Amino acid sequence: MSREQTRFKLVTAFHQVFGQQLSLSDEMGPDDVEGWDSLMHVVLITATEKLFSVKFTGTDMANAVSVGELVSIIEAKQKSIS
Amino acid sequence: MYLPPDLCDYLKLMTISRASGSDDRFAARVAVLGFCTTHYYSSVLKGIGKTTGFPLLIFETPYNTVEQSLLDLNSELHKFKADFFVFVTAVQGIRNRLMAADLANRYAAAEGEASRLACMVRRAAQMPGATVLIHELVVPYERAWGNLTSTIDGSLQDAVRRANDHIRSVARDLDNVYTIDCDHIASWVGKRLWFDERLWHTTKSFCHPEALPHLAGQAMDIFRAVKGKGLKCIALDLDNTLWGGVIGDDGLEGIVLGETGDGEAYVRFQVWLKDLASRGIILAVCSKNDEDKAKEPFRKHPGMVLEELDIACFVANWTNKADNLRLVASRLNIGIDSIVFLDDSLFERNLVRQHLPEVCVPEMPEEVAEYVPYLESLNLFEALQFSKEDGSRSQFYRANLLRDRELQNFTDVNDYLASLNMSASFCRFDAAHMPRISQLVLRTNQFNLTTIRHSVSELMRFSADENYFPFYAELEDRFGDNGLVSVVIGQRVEGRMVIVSWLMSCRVISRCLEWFVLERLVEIAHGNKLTAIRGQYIPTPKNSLVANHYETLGFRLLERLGDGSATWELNVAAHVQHAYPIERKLQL
Repeated sequence: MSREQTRFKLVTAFHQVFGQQLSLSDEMGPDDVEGWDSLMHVVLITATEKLFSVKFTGTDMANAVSVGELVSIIEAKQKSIS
Repeated sequence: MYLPPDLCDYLKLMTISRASGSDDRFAARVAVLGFCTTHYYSSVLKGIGKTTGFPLLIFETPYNTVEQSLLDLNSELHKFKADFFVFVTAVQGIRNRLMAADLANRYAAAEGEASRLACMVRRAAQMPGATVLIHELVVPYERAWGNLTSTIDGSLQDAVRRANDHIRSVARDLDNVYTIDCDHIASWVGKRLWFDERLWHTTKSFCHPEALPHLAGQAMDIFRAVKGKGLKCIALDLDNTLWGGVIGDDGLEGIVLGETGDGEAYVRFQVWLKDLASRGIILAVCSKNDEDKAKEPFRKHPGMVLEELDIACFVANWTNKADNLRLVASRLNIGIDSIVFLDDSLFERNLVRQHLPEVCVPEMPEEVAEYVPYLESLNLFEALQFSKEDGSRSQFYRANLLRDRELQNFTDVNDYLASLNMSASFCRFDAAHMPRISQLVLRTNQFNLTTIRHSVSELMRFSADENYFPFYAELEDRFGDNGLVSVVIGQRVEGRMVIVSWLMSCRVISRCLEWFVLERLVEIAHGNKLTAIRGQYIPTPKNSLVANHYETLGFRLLERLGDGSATWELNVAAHVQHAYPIERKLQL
């Protein structure tokens, strides 16, 4: 899956968690999305894990504080699976 | 708690909980006291409340401040005045301490943890009007001795089980404290999912959020039961629900029921139903069939586990099922909202949902073998206590069926009542009967003059106070013992007796028991030199049955208010006894 495709699919997770249909770009982070605070970050991660059938490590969770980082981590996980 | 399958999802429930809505009418105020992060739990709980018509106002104690909040009388927690306190435990928070103790001292360490919690629970339980729920600890997965672990005294698992025993003993001793079997929930969803160590380390989340809907549903079940909104009756379809195939088409030999394949699954379902009946859940049949055909398997099929007499109300005809469920409710004298309707047909389920939104109508799995595990996962029949009456409820209904048959032999209802050879006892509250008294007070909706839901501690207080006259009545007849079926609480006020509560089980309506109770009240009034008995009727959506209760008994109207409530009075000296066919049974 390309970065664009991953980012596009990630919109679903953001919608499930924050209730908004957003157009995502790599630079976007907690300041750009209403409700993306440290508590909801965990929910975003678990929703993302389910959507992509991947598992984040604790370190991944801490690092994934922007859409770009999230996409990179998902990409890396999926490569290691396939 | 039944939630439509598409809502059994923590993300959906969290979204629902955030959506603004008319939050001004809350069914309950809930304080969540956590030894971990409770944000996700509370959010899912709130979402469940919203989708099930039981909106909650939730207060969470700030992280790790449970003890202080309970001790400080000026804390936000005290100001919140919760109906329910939910203690959310996390074994992850204590397991390091338990493991740090050596084997010989593990029990002591576990006891220490449990006692600390017990102290807090007792404090919360003393708050006025409070009901307390405790999450039992989930038994951890560490097995230092492998499979031998279960035999080792003082293993981590053993120590945690000990702590749970202690917590449960607190709940047993206090009548307003209940525990939630979290180890069962964790096992059901899978401990591998429950124990997400990352989430514990990063955010002190005690379980994976996917487990939350199932967990929070348990608390909701207890809330509803405490508020008298529990389910009492299962109304069953027959064809393709109790057996495979259609009795009208396939005939007795053609239906699937018995030793093999799907037949086994239907047997298993019937065994499950019979077990529920034996613990007091009422079974009814609501089937589109000719009645004789519908009853044939009950009478002749060797594979049937349920018997005709297990079914308290048997409705088989060609009328629509919504009307038939109304008929079931009225025949059994129960609220339509206390019925759960099980039917394999999506058409029938939707019809009932549309016409009777109060009825609980779970989706049924396509696979018959899934009936029991699926329905079991819904925890439909939460019980706050188990009384002698619960165990024999099916016998009561069985006896009622026999009474109904008997009634058909009489043209005069008084002759029929006289033929029952009824006898009743009338006793002041005692501890032994308190579970049943409390249950009647909490659950009686129809024959209930004031519908005041006294807590057990209040009921105990009445029984110790000589200015109160708290009594219960037990009724027996030649078909069997009906058990404790009526409660009346009088209070001495300025030379009169004021009836605070008067209620009666719907099982014994129209048996003249209220006349018997009235005579006892008059005797008590005489004995205590009270000149009058005053009673009040407070209307609710369910108690119109007793709107004219006091008038019928010869009371005089004193006052009627705009909301329909009315106060009535009986002059004790002028009272003339009315005949009733019940003999007084004196207690030895």
